[in-house]
Amino acid sequence: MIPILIVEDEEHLRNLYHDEFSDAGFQVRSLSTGREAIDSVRRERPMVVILDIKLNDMDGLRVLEEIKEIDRTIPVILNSAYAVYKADFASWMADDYVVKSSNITELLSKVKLFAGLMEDKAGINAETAI
Amino acid sequence: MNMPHAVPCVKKGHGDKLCWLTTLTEENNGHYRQDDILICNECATFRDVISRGFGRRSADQALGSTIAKLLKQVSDRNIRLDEARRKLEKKVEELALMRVITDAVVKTTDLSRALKIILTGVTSGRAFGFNRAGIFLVDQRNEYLEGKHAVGPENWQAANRIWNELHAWSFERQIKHILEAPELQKDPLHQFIEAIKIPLVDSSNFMIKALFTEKPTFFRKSEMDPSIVSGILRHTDFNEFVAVPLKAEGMSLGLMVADNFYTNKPITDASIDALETLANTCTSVLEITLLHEQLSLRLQELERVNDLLRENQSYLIQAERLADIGKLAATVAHEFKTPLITIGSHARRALRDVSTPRFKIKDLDVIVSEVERLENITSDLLEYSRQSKLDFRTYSIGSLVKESLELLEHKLQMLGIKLRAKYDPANPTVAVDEKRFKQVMFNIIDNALDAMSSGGVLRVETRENGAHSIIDIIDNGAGIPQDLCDKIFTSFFTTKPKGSGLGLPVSKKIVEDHGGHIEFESRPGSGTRFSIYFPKKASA
Repeated sequence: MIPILIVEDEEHLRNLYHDEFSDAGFQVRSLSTGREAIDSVRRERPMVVILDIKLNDMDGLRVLEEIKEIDRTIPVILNSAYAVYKADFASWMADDYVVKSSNITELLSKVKLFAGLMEDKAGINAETAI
Repeated sequence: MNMPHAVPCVKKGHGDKLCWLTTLTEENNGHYRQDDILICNECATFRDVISRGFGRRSADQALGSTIAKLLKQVSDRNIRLDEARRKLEKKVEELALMRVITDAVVKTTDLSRALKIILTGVTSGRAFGFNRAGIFLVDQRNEYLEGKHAVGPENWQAANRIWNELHAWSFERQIKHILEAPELQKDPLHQFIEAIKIPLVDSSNFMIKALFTEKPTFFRKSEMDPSIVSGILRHTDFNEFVAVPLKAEGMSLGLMVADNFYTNKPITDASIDALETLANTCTSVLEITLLHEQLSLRLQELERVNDLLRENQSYLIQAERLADIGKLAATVAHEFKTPLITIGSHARRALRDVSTPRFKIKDLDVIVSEVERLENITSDLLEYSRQSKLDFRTYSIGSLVKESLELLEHKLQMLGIKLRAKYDPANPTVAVDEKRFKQVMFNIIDNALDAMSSGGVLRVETRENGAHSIIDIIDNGAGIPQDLCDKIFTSFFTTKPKGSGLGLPVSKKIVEDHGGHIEFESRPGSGTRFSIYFPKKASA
């Protein structure tokens, strides 16, 4: 099962995401703070990260930076209620940007896409690894 | 007395008078008539009388010739003195005229009037005595030499008329007339000169050349290039004229021209000198006028900028207000967006799963809960946005606090919280809006109650310092965590699930609108103290 990390400070939403993505077949870890997220990525690489920008303890874009510093290849999808950050230079570091919506179809398909790519890559690596 | 050789005077036609001897004894107002001495000196009879009068001896002869020489010296000196006196008189007249002109010129800020006054001076019979005078000035853009003003008759008849008429008018009266006339009349000569406009770049033009020289230029018809003469004759007849450049700090401002076309009096060096003096006055006037104009323009500009600023200020204030409203609207919108997404996503899931075993009733709970929260936010927003003006009245702080606590008695009882109130005996007075004051009290006490569980103690105390009356609200509840201390006054920040997050920010604003401030101190685990400062109202 493909491990993914969801970072969302809104409790209800976090729970909903956790349920839906679990139902979709992913192995979900959901966290509410940026600090916890960075630590988690350090310990265990997820295949994809869903990251909210507005977090309680730190700026989501800082979290993005740190995650990319740990491993540049981990795809990070920004999931934010604010559309304005789409044009923000800092958010360009992210691999994609989804404007938060009550309809999670877009988010789900993007995660599947990135997970699929990553899995392929992992597969290739596994094959060529000695 | 024996009059030797008394002969009748032949020169002066005084048939009954004798030669110079007699004349000299006649006094004419204490002055010897200079003419007489001159005439005597040239008269052969006189010389003869002298020589004969002193006899034939050589000594006498010598005496006689010495006397003759002395007489000549005296008469020469007299002539010189007379001349000097004439010159002096003329100079004094000039100066007097200059004085009148400069006095008059400073009385007006109108350049045209000032120029007319100067030119009238130039053509005034008394000192300067030119017939016609004109001024040409370099234009603002430094492109043309333009005729600006002229004074003088345009033909003989006019010349005669003017002399006869204005003869009655003193120079001072003429000047006064110029100063006081509501509108300046333009003489035909003036109109004619205004039509002249010579480009500065035409450096071969005689006027332009005269403009850029340091000294006055003298023009005589008979000595000038015929083509130039015919050019001038197309406009006006002339014989000779002088052009004096008006220079200030090395820059050529214009040209003053004058001539004696009607009287044909020769233009002497003395009169050119006099003209130069007036030209200097003219230059000063021009400089002052220019400065004046510039100042006035600057002033106008400043006034305009000032007006613009004032207009813009009100725009700016409006724009600021609008921006504030915009910011507020954005903040509110953001606050609503997240709960809406929560509500929406849970509603969708419930809809999808409703007839399946996967259906989670918790989804509906979440929806209801979030809606409640939004309702709280909305009603608080509505409440706080009611922009009623503060109604300041004077109260004693003790009575206000007491009343607020009375209204909370029931809630305190319900929650099992003990109240300990302590009132400052000084009981200062404050000027507050009663409703808003109580609002602040409720908000802060509410927070205190939320922090405490049953059995907690709420202390409410009043005190004062120099400028303020202070209310302390102290609880022994959970306290505020260090990292949240910065956020508690932020709009919409709340730790309560159904909280609007508006209570503290609005309280802060109310207190600040009263001229006071809020302070707080908290120790997690032991409790929190909020202190509200209101400015004391000086008792009458």
